[in-house]
Amino acid sequence: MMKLEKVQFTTVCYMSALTFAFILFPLMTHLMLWVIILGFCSVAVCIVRASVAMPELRNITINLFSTFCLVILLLFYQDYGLLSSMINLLVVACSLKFIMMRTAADFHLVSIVFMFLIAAGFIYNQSIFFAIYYGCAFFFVFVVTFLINKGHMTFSKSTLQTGKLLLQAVPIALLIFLVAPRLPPFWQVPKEESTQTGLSEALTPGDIANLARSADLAFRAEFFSDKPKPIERYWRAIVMDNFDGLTWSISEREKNTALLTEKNYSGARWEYLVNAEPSDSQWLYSLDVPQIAENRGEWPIFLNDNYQVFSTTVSDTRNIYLLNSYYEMPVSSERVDYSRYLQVPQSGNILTRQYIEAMNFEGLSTQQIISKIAEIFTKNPFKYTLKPPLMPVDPVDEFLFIHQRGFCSHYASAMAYMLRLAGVPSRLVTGYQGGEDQAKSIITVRQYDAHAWVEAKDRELGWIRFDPTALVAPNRMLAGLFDSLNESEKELIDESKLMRQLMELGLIKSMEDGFVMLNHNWSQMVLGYDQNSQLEIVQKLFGQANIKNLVTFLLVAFVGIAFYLVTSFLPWRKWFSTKPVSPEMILLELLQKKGFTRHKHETFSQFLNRITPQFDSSLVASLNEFEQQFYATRYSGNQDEKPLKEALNKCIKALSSKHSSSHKPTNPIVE
Amino acid sequence: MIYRLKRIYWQLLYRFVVKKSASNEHAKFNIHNTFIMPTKFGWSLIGVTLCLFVLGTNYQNNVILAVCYLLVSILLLAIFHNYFFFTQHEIKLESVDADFENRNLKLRGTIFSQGRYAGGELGLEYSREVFKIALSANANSPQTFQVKLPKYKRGIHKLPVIAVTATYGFGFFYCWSYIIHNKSLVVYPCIERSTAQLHNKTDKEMGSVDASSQLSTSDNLQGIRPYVNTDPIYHVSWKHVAKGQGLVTKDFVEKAGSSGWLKLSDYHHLDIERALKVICYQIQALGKSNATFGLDLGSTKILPNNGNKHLDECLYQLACYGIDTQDQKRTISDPQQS
Repeated sequence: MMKLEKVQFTTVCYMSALTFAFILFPLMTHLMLWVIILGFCSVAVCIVRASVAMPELRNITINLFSTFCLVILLLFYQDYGLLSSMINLLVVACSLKFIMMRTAADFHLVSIVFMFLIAAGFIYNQSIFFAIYYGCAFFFVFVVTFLINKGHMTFSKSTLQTGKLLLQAVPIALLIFLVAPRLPPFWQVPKEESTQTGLSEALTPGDIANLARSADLAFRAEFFSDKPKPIERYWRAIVMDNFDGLTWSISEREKNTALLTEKNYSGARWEYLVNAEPSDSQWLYSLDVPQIAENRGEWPIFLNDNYQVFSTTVSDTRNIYLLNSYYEMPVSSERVDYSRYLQVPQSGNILTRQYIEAMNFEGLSTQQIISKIAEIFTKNPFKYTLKPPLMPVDPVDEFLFIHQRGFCSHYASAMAYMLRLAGVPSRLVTGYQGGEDQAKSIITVRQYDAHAWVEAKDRELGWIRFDPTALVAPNRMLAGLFDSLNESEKELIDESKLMRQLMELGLIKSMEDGFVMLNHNWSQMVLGYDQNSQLEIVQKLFGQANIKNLVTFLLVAFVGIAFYLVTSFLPWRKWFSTKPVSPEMILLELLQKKGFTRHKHETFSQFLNRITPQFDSSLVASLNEFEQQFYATRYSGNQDEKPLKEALNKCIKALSSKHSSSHKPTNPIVE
Repeated sequence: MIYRLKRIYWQLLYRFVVKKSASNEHAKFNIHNTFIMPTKFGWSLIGVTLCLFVLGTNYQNNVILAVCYLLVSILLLAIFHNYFFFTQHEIKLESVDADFENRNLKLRGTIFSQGRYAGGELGLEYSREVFKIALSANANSPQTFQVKLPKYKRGIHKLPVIAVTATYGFGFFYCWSYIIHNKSLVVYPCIERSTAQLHNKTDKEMGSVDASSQLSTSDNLQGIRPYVNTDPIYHVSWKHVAKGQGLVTKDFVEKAGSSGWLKLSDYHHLDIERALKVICYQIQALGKSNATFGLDLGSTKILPNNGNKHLDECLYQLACYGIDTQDQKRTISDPQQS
């Protein structure tokens, strides 16, 4: 196998090392510590080898070391899951190869692994930021492969040329992306391991505290009408009706709530698009009272009698849907049986029971009962905190009468329990509250915006939303989670401190807004592009989405690709050259094609004198005539080119005559 | 049987290559003589692309699918880039000067480039050797090159079929064409030092040789030499002309004068190749001292003369010795690595 030259080797080594380090960074959270160390050590070794002559490692040493690494990987395989283990394996293999790269084939092999690692990175993160980041890594990989056989081209020119070649490929890739059929998965694949899976279907107070620490994106909503005020942003997702004294959950009956039948929507509304990140839950997010306008996701979505939007399929794909929310309408349903919303455990939480039994609710309306019960939060020193103490037994009693510290799920759970004890049908609702305003019409909701509140049933008004947390921490609703936390609690949020400080200074706010808009469009147009989107395009282009039109769509794309290739490789420059074409230039070009090239230092006359002995008399005569006309036209002030052109035609005829085939240069001189 | 099949296979392949080769010393590449196939790296990338398609579909991941389609389009464009890069070049090979056996011969040539691609590398492959030629960053400047040829044994050899290759761009595709060098390569025997044994025409032994010559030619024939304008036409050896060896003049004893002769038969006790080496040394030594000498190889004789032309003719006859004279100019033999 051919070794690279020293200079070439050094450049390719540096570039490969940079690329490997670049690819390793975002994968670090999924790699074992020793694999990360091994990866960066191999990068260092590669750089040193490029700079200093080093003895090469023996194959047996590398083989033994790789066996050792394989054993360790197998030992930790179950802790990391199949996908992460495979990525660790790839990084280990790449690192070991990196240590002993010599030939072009070695660099090619490493480049192939780089491409796999980049693709693996996209399994974990598909945001536009990472797409740009990995796009750079992808470019570096191609620079490495280009440098291997660049010839005498400089590094900067090689980089430029690589960029040109890659950019040229983008339009074709876009066309294929648009028309290539989207197939269902071929087989079940190992899922990425994740601890942040969205909202849980069961809630034991304290559970949401884990979510509150995550700054991951839950969803983005783009409003086409006015945006709701922060206090109105209750993104409803899960309704829990069953309480066992410790945990709130969804009963089977609630899960199988009938789909919403005909409903007369009226009044003012918010129109918006929700772009929800993939989660492990089938429940989607909406503001009250929702109506599904359009589904742009892969799987169908429905609306049930509880006004919950849900998908029948939980998948790794995002859900994109358009909703109208009639915020003036009551959340009511046609059902009459509300007994399950009064269910309480027979035992436990005795203090709360006694507290409610001691109260008199006679003659009070539902709202009055709610207000009366909620007084417990306003008259006592309750505190909103993300660090509540553990309450493993009788949590409501402990929360209300002992600790009086907690976060939304503690307040909502206690309130819903007390309402049920007071005979008011109630349920606990989880979802998100608030969200950050970005880029004019967009609200970004993150996992730390997760919230829980209560819905109580009023005979006339339907389900009334009541948020007890708002009584204790009004800032949580008005300005978001951050403003309701003290400095030590802010540390719990998994978001860059520097970023937050910059955000507070407003330095990058506008930049971030632009970025959010870009990411939102990226999610919709690229990540959310599926078979339905294809059909929509076909429908827009051809009027109807049927097989015939789909095939036409495909054919048009292929013709487009062929046209692009033809236009890219035709000699446009030659055809549309700005150089003036003179008869003498045409003649010189013709002679050059026959193998007779003029020296730089030769005059036209000298050139003809040199080559004419090899021609027959007719051609010599034509050339002599041309020579005379040439000097007459160019140097004797004769502006008329007609005689020169006529002489040229004679030369062309003589050159293309039968005999001209014998005009082969005996000793062609080519510069 | 297997040997025969192998031979037929190689003959068919050679015919195909000859048909598809650029076929002269000034090779121009076009769609008729250019081949293109993915390299190992290219095949690997095709494999990666397929894997990414499966990965992207299984994870329903549009970004991975986009990367996969980007690779497809890069591969597609790489075919065209590689082809146009390759065909923008012309290669002019120079004829290889005659040299002595077991010496490293050099094949020289010039690469002309007229097109949009600058830089890159061209490869010359023959006899399982690959030579990479890094091309200039200036797309239109001609570039000379010289590459090592394998070591040849004495004889007249046809140069190996040269495969010109290119893996321009990212190295995904391998573009190649063949050049068949029409001119032959003359390889003289190497030298072995010894003292010269020159025979005068008055020697008894020489007389006997003359007698044998007379027997064969019945006209006191001394030897043959290239025809010059002043030679009488009736001295032209028409037998040689009929064999396609050009005009040669028969020299007769009267014209030979008092010159010495180098005789192969003096070394009959040596292996023939070794004898030729000894004579080769002597020819060069005599040539260096500008002595007048003739060469008697038995079937071929060259009249005593001096000068470089005479030296070249003698060496040429040594190179051809033992090869069928009819096929001397056309003999093809594979280089034998020593």
